[in-house]
Amino acid sequence: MYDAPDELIDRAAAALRRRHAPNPRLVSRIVASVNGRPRRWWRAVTWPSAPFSLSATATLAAAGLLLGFLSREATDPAGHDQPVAAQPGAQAIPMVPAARTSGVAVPVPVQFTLRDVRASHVALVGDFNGWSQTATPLEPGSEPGTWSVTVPLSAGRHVYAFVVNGKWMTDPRAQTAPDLDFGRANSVLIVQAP
Amino acid sequence: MTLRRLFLISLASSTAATGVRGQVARLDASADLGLRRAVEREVVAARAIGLPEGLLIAKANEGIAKRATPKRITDAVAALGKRLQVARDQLAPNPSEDEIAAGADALYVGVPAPILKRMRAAWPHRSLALPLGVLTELVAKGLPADRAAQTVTDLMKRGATNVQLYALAQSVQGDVAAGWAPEAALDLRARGVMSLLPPAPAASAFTNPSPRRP
Repeated sequence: MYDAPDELIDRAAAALRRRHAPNPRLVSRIVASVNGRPRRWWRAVTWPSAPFSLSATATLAAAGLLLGFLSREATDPAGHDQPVAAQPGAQAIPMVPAARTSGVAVPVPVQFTLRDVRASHVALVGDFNGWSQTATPLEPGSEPGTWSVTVPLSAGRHVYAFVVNGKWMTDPRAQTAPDLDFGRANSVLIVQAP
Repeated sequence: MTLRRLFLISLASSTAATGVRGQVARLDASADLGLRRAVEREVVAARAIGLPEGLLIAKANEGIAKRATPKRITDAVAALGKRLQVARDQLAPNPSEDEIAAGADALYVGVPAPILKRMRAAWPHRSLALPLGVLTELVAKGLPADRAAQTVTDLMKRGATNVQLYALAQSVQGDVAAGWAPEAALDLRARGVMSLLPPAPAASAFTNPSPRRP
């Protein structure tokens, strides 16, 4: 048998018997439910947590989709520049595609690096960012004239180019692929995946 | 039809239309109205048959960035739409967007459409994005499409990994850049990969067992 102190048992029993004070908000909600529809201010307060009807849920989902599309529209004000051939003196450091860790199509982080002492702004354009000249700017490195950016890419073949000071240029250290559609070659990268 | 159902249908259709406009809004700001409308038509058509319409916008943006004429851009977008559809059909039943894009790239460099189906049959449960990319690159380097496809498909059937296929493409690229004939480079490098793979199973030994004499 147990020899617990009587005083401890008494305190525990008293605590269990003690009646908790009712939550006034809970009481008002119960009363409102019993009497009919809740007051307008109460509905406004509890709206985020209240269960929605099907039509309300569909309306909210559609509104969310609408907002998503509108927000995407506002994020791509691309500029345009006259592309030119690769500038002499520019040198790209070879890219090292990282390996995937599973069979799932997980994007692989790939670092793009360019060395060009005359560059004041460098952007990466390619099939992976919709050829947007504003989506993927390169950041200047610690050494003068070095620029880099890391981009998650899916496994497979990708075509890309650099835009240096507004001028289009292929990666001098990468293979190029002719572009039969528009007539200006792109650089090619194959991202491997085990 | 109840009022609520009517409301939901109209809301859904307006949301879909907004989706198309949202995609087209990703078009470069410098696109003129005519080009914008032409691309929007292609996007609507692509969406109607379940193609990844973002690739069409990207193609148009590439043309705009390269200062191509609106006519040329529209033609390129329309042609890409057709390639995407062919690639999606050939890579059935459930190709990913990456696979469809890779298949369209392969078609672009001249790979015949039935080859995509053969590659899908060789790897029914694995992504073809990388093998198709390797094939595209080999053909772009001057190899005949049939020969390159046969080599890649053989390697896939023999159990080559993505890493080995990637290495094959890199090696052939390097050899061609060094002055090798593309076909000689492919033969040599493919034999190298093949030597690392387990021998092909002798199917006839199982399907047609020789009769045993008593």
